[in-house]
Amino acid sequence: MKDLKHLYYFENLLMDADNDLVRQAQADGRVCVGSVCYQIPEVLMNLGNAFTVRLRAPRTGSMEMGTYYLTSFLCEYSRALLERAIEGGYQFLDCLIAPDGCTMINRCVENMELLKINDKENFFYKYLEVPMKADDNGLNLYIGQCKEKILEPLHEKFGIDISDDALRKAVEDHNKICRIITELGNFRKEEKPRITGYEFHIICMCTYVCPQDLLIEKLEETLEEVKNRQPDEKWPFRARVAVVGSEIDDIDMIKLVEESGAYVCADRFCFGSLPGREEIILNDEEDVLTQICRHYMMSCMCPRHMDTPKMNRRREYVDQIAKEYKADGIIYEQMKFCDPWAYERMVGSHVLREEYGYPVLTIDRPYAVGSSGQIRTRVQAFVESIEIKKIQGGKH
Amino acid sequence: MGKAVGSSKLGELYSGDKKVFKHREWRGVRDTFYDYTRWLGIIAMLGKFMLHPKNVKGFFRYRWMLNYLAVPMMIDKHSMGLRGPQLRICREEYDLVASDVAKLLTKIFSMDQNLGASPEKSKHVVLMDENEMTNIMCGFPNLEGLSWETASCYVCVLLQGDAMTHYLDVVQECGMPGDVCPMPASEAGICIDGDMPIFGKCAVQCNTTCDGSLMGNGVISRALERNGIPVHQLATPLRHTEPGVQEYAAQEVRNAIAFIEEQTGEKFDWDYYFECAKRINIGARECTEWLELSKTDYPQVIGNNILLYRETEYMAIAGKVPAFAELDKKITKMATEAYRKRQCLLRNTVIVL
Repeated sequence: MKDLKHLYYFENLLMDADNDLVRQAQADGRVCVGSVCYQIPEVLMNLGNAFTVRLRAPRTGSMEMGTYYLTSFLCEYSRALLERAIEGGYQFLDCLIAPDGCTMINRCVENMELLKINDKENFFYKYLEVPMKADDNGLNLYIGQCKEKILEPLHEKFGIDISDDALRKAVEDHNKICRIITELGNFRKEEKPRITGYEFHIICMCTYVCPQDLLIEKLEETLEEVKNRQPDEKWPFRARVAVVGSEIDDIDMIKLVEESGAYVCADRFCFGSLPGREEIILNDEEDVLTQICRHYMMSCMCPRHMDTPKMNRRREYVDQIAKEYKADGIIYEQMKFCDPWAYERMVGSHVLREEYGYPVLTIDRPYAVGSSGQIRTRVQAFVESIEIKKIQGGKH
Repeated sequence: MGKAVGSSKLGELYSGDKKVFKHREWRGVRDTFYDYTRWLGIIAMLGKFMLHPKNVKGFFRYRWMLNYLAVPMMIDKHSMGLRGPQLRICREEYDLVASDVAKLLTKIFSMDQNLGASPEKSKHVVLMDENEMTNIMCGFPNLEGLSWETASCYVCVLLQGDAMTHYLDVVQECGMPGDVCPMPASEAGICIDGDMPIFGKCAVQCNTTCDGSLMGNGVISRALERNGIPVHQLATPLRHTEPGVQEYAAQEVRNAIAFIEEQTGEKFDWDYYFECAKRINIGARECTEWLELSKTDYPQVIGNNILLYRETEYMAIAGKVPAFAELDKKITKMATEAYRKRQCLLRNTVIVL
């Protein structure tokens, strides 16, 4: 297939947390809000003059300093972020808002605060208590916390407009991005998709780490380009897989999976589009903050949500997207040392395999995958097993 | 060193890689005789335990029960080196905990569907997690909050450090990485291996104390629901000192109470709750006295026994068993008398501050 015109541009944006668009936005006097988790409603940090950047640590080598503070038992994402913070990689942020979600990411941000990694005058840290169950009590908590820890501080410190109109405008802008990403993502459902999983992942990730309004033009151009793109005559992949699991912000991971013969047709992970780029549908009757919080609470697929309906919903969702995107198999992946995803991966793999009948590959992976031979071998073997299963007519 | 402080060389009680003493610790005639009689008491308790046919069945049904053969050794290990009043205090505490656990096991096995009991036998039981504060059950005088995890996992690793190795193997064979906390992983392994007793009208799970515990509950809730035991999750917030969060926490407790009421037909009794709360306060007050003594040159209630005893009393008992409150007062009396007589833990010691 012909290379996408702006792919290289998007790839370059991912090379640095303080990328060109972040710098451009800050030069225009805008406020950069750092976040580390889906459970901090992204749309609430993209209000008015503010824009949010989901933290990554691209090109991470060693994590020795992060490991010193957090020990080697904590997830590599949290250690990589702390490492980068200590190195001074997040000086550009104006504030950092984190959930008391998983303990690891919470400790990571607490350590950043204790180590004073940012010396801007008005810099602040906020920690939200986020619901562990998707129910009315959880929703009330969520609304209160978002008001107290996101909206009010943004307004008091930076004069951000947090009115209902501003929230609705932010949702509208968010949905615009979501529609483009979803439309791009829908091409993955085709028999010969005209966008690879790797290309899609890069484009999608850019919407998490750059001011979205500055991306929109190129996104729309890319969408048009893909609409008119001709897929390769001979499709280069041997199987279609849905990748499910913890955060993946290393583009090499999806690249590696695809180089091993498996087309990544669905991305159910943090920094992915499912559910991160699903539109927020608002009505005119109910309080807008309540609706936003409800959306994030109900759509969240983090394994930290512990109520039984949510646990079941996570696996149903994987089945739903696997059917929708016509996945032959599922790769359940987790960041090394992530406790929540360790359990979710174990149970999810079992359920999706035994109860839903999918071939499942279950792996844990380092933060920086690089060109891991081990993962490559596992994926290659998985692809072969899917092919054999197809030849045998779907029998195990 | 041993002789200088009036003790024998305690390390020499063990031989090679064996975990059992070569012989009982010599503590002088009086204390050795006292300790021996208490040891006999534990053996008698274990013997009495095995007189119940269901307990025998449970012993052979569940792999983790094998660890309970080490009960006398575990208590010996934690009373090593103690003399006089400190030894007596330690034995009182451990022996009460041991007898409470024996009662817990007897109850569990009498109601366990794996051992042939009908679900009706445990319709008064609400299952609770091992690290869940059970004082929510203080408001239900006709119900019991019991934890199978305490009996099968928590206590077992106190008895034998590698008690859960098999269950960790089981859970890791299912795909769990080896880097997660082994406690919830072991519980998940027990559940996967089919070694989880099945009883209870309903279950209230909690995310305490950590992400691992939160996640392990997911594995267990699947098994419980498959066996017809409905499960409610009580979410304990993390930023619990914040005012806005406290209301959330209170509502979570209310929701859990409503679930128990709905499942069991019982009503929450505030009078009984406060009766238990008074006993919890007795424990807290008495423990404060012991800690005050520990600030002096003559500490009396020390070591692992205060930890295990208080943990049992605070979390598992939560004021529901009057015997613990009574023992608290007895221990304070024993400790205060020993302090007045200036009885040291070790002879000829210098306490460096």
